[in-house]
Amino acid sequence: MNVTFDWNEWFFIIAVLIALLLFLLIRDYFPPVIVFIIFIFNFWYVSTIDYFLIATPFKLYFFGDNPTYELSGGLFHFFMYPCASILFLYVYDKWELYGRKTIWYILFWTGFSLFFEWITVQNRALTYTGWKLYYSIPTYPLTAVFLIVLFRFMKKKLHDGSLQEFQ
Amino acid sequence: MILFFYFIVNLLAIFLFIKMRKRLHILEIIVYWLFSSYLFQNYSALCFMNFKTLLIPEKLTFELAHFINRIVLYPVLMVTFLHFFKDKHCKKLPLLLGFILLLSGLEWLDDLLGVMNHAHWEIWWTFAFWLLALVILIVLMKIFQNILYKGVWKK
Repeated sequence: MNVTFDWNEWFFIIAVLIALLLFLLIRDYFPPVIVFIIFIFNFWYVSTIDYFLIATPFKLYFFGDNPTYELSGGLFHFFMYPCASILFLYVYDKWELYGRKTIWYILFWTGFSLFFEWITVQNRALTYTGWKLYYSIPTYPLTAVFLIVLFRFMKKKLHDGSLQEFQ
Repeated sequence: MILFFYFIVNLLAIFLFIKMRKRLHILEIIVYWLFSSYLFQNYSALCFMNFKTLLIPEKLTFELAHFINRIVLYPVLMVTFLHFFKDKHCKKLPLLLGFILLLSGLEWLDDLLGVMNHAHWEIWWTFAFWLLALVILIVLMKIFQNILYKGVWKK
C-alpha cells in the first residue's frame, strides 16, 4: 500500500465538499427518517457493488492510489453517493417529475453521472483495470429506479399506519 | 457444490425469517439488514484487501458464495438477533453470547469450506468483531427507533 496525498485526494475532498454543501442547502426538505434510510441504503449499495467488482476474481477498478480500501474512497462512500442520491430525489419530488418526466429525468441524470465518472477517471481518483466507461451506462438508470422505488415505498410505509403496530 | 450448499442455506435462512412473527417494522428490517450487510462487507473487505488476514479464493463459485453470504445469510441472522433483542422479556446477555457464538461459528465454517480463509489470525478477533458488530447494531436500532417512532413528519 503506497498512499500519497496528491491531486486525486484533493479531487475527492473538493467533490465531497460540493456534494455536502448541496445537501446542506436542501437537508430540511425530507424528514430525518428518509435521509437516514437513503444514507444507509447508499453505504450498503456502493460497498456491495464496489467490493464485488474491485476484489477477486474480477478486479475491474480501484479508487485512489492502490487497489486497497482507502480513506479517500471511503469519503465517496460516506458522503458523495448519499448526498447525490438525496439531491436526485429532491429534484424528483420537489418538481414532481413523475410519469413520462421521470424517464427524461433519469436520462439526464445518467448523462451527468457518466460525465462525472469520466472526470473522476481523468483526475486519477478512479482507475480502470478492466472496466470501461460504457459498462456504467446501465448502472445509473438502474440505481435511479432503485432510489425512486425505495423512496416511494418509504413514503407509503410512513403514512399507512403500520408504525403504530410496532411502537 | 459449495455454492449450491450456501445457496440452499441462504434460501432456508430467508424462508425462516419470513415465517417468523415480526417484532420489527419493515423499514426497521430494511435499515438493519442493509447496515448489517455493510458491517460484514467492510470487515471482509478491510481484512482481505488491506490487512491480508482474510483470503478469498480466486474462484468465481467461492466469490459468489461469499457474496450471497454477505448480503443475505449474515445480515438475516443479525436482524434476527435484533428481532429477539427487541422483546422486553428476552434475556439480553445469553442472547448476545448465543449470537456471537453462532456468527463466529458460521465464519469458521466459511474457513473450513474454503470460502473465506483466515491467515495469521488470532481467534479472539472473530469474537471481538461479532461482539462489536452486534453492539453497534443495538445502538443503531436505538437511534433509528427514535427517528422512526418519535420523528416529526413533514410530508
